[in-house]
Amino acid sequence: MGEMTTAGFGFNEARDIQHAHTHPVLDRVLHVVHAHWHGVRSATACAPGLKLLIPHEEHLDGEAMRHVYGLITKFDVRKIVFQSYSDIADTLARDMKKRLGPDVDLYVVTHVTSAQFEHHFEMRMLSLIRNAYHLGVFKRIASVKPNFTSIVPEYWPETIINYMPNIGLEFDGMMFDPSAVFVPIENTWRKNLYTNILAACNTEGIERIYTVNWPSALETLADLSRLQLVGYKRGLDLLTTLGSVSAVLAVTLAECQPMTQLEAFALGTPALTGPLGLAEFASHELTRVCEVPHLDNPALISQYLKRIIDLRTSDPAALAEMIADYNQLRARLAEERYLMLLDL
Amino acid sequence: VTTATPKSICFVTNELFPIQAGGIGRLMYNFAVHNANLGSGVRIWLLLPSTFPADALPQVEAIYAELAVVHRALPLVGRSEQLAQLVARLPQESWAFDRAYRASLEYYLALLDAEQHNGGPFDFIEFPDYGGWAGASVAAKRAGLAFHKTIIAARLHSTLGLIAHHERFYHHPSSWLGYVCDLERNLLERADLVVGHVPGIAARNAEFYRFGPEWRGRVHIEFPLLTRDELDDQDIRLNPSADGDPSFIFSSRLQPFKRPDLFINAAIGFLEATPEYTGAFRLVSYGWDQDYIRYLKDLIPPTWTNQIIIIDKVAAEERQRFLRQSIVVVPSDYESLCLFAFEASILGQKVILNRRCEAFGSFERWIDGDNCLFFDGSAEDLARVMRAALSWTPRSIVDTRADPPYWTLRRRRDEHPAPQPLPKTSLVCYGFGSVAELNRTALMLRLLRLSDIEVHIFLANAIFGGDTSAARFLEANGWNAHFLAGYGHQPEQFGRRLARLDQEILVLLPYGFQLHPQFLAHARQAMAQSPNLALCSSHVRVIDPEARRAHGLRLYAGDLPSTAMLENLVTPPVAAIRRSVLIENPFDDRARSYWFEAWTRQLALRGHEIVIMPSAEIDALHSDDGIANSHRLTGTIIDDVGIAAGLPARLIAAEPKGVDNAASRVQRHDIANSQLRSAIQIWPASREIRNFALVFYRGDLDGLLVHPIGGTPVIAQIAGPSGAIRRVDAAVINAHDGNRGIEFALAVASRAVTREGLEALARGATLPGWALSPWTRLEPQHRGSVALVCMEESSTANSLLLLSRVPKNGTESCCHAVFKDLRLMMAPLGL
Repeated sequence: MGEMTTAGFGFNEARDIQHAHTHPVLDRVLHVVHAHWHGVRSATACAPGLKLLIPHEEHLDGEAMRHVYGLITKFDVRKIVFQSYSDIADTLARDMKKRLGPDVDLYVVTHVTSAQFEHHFEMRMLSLIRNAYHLGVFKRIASVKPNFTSIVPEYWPETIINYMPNIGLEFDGMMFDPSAVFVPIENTWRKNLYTNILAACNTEGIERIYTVNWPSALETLADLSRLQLVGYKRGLDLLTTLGSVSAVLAVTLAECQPMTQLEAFALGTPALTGPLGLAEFASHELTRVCEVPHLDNPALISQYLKRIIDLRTSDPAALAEMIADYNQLRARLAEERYLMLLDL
Repeated sequence: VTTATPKSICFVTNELFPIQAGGIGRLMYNFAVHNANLGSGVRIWLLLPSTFPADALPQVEAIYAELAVVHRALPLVGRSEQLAQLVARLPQESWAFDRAYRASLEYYLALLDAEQHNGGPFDFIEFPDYGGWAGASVAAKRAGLAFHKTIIAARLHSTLGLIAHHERFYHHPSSWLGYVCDLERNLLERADLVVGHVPGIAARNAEFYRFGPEWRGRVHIEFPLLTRDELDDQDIRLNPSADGDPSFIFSSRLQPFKRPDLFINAAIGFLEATPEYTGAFRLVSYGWDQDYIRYLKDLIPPTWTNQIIIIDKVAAEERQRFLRQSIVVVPSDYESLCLFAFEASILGQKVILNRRCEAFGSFERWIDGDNCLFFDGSAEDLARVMRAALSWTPRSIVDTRADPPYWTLRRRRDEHPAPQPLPKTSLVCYGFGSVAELNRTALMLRLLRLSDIEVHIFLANAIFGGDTSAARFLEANGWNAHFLAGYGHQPEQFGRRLARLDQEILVLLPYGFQLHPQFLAHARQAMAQSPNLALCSSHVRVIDPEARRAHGLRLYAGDLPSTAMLENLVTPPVAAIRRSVLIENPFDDRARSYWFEAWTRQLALRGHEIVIMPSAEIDALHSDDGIANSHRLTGTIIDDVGIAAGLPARLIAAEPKGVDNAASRVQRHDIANSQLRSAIQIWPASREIRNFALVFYRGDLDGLLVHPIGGTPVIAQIAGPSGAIRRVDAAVINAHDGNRGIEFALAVASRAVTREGLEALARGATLPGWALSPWTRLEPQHRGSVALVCMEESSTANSLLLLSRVPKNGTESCCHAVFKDLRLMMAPLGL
């Protein structure tokens, strides 16, 4: 069980470790992640290692900092990875380097794409990371977005591969509703909600479309009677929802390695996305059937959706094997890359 | 038949001589002294509550060093058990069920500790009959969780239930009083042994609580040892006032059932008849209720205030001095023994007692005219007897020979029944609204690893019908699939289907709850051990769905009848049920969403045995404000009670108290700042109206800016929660000083947000399914609020609309209209 720390800190909370992979060496890595940044936290939760949850708004007090150093000593941590960055992470990283010196190596893994730079915050953080790197705070800085060196040359050239959740055997053979899809995306321009909903509405055989956000005003153009607003889901509720539908639709305009897709795959549910540009998976059959090449084209998405649902009905074993093979490849690559990044 | 000599007994008490002055603390001391005098070899434990003053412990331990082991309970907040932790976190000022239950839980856990220190089970645990302190311990024994080899004894002092009955027209009715009365009755009914001092008091309890011959068979009467330590220290010679007329004294607590009013009224009658009498009538005591003491003082006419005197702050020696020189009057309507009257008689004093009190009038140790004088319970007669006492001399002192205490007697060794095989059991899961919910339950079932339990899953045709995959899925897991008509909202049909399952025990598990692994074993064991048990369950942890930690607790009461009459607290919706009970007591469709609560409450009121284990082995996955109730449900159940009692009056005429918890009326739903970020401009339809965005999130103000423009309102939309929205409140700010005022409004659309609906809103009109609040005007830099009362509802697609407009004679420039802190009140589901 996790232990709660002071001042909004958390450590190894249930949801950050229960679906984590394990590894004899990587288990001793400490990941520092922001408690309220759900996507990054989900990605980190799947990785082996210890998880320190930090706030992204309130600054740290002395007691909290001492507690963190206590944990580092207790677990004999030698490698610390900051998963994404904030002013608080920056303060913490600099303080850690000063106190821990060469005994402990610090790293950053970012989960951002240049498409998100309209939020200037992201660029400011990258600049903070780069400064800290030049000051010797970080040994390496890396990204889950391929070719991030084209944005910040100091980045490690390899791509970090996200782990998918390590799902227990009890999830095997869950029942799914063959005529339901789940659209777990925000209603923002980048997330492309309207196109996804239109695609689902126009796909033959889809009776139930579960959505976490309402495509406001779309009813003026489309029949939304099959839409059910289910709201954001977390933890087991999210996993069981992902595992209970025929397919997941998340064809968004720009992503790194979206966790919803990996969570769906872990449960054996196919999930459609846009092209993610991961060379490691480019030739995989699952990539071919799940990555839709044109993003603002409901008809094309619908076509992909129909195809994957039909495959799931006509040859469930083939699809299951394809997903299992993909998951194995991903787990192996994720482990290799982290070991490489951390010189372990 | 083998017999055995007991080795240990634990008394549960919150009073202990010499720290507290009351009679019960004295009794505890006397028990220990008696036990030591007899050389019984029985080890006495005294269990004190955590609130017992810590600084008094060294003194207590010194006094009892040779007599007893003193054990003070750990406070719940300092304990590691999950249930203790969760109870400790409940609000302290609560008057809900936990208020009555907490003390019993603390004593139960402390008894387990004391058992450990004792090196084995106690032969006896003795609870007092008042306070409801045995609730958790009795439940634990009934469920087979603890105290298998221990005899739980209840000593008849005075229950609050009986006192409240005697203190007529005095107690403010409350559900709390109901809990305590129920818990007290529960102990008397379930105790293995009932110890009384006076036969008439045991009979009074049997009559009052309607206990039959079987109960009377469990009653043991014994007269306790009266020690005279305190008296021995004093000059015990009678010391009547040297000159003048004798005085009278009332020295019981100033509390209605002790009847100080009778004493005062008799004194008034006495003095009015003989104004020349110079003796005093003193009430030398204390009380808690200042209002009642004021009432007593107001009874005394000014003429007699020099002779009828209430002395409520007095040192012990002073009280003794008054006592010695006075004729003692004990006018109580009810006492279980009254040490005070015995002590007065031992000292050779004249004692006047109320004949109507069973502890006096029906107790052979008190002999009228011989060792006491009786009056008939009225003030007039008391005045008459007071006068008679002046010329009367006691011929003897009252008999105070003690009986050997029950714990020192050899007793037949109780045969502990051999462990029964666990009954055939089915786990019944139902209430699924989607495949995801079914999967979620499937995960839990797999982790429970049910080997010898049948699993029956009931699915609604309207949701799962017409698709064979669900049945195949359940079959593949070895579970039985059943289909219910429609949405499955027909409890009578459900009940009949359950009654046909060929298993003795059915564990109902609706979606939204999960079981801890030990729940099934514990519940089955309880049902196996007690064939009369109709239902068994535990308390419920409320789990935060995100953090997956327990953040709340719902306590249940079991077969407490007053509680069942008023509240949905009998069992949680998850419970083990004996199938035979279900066959005889069908569910009722007319109770609608409260069918289970209506059923369990009626079972409890009909006298079926229902136990809630003192543990939290059930989790509620979705938190809400608590346990809902309804006036219609409760009103009908109360009415049933009256009809069953044969009353001509209909209790449905009384609006029930105790159902007005928040959960029964409304659920609150807040729309937090981050959700406001998802708002969009929906009117005007075009976003290209100005060269700036009309709707966006103002991070500096944590609110949504909806910038009005000339000629039309601007409307922003956010998705609302599912269900029946009854009211929406929003804080609004005119955040700029450069405008001439802004108007704000809220609207709800419970249907699709259409162009026609928006056009109507823009004109200030609403289509069916839409609701619009009045407009609120704010001057520059002012804050205010907008409220919308709304009777429309929708199960899936509520939209909240935030509107702003430029007032007449206003201008649109700098109209920074900001909405924040949206609070929605949702109507409860059900009746």
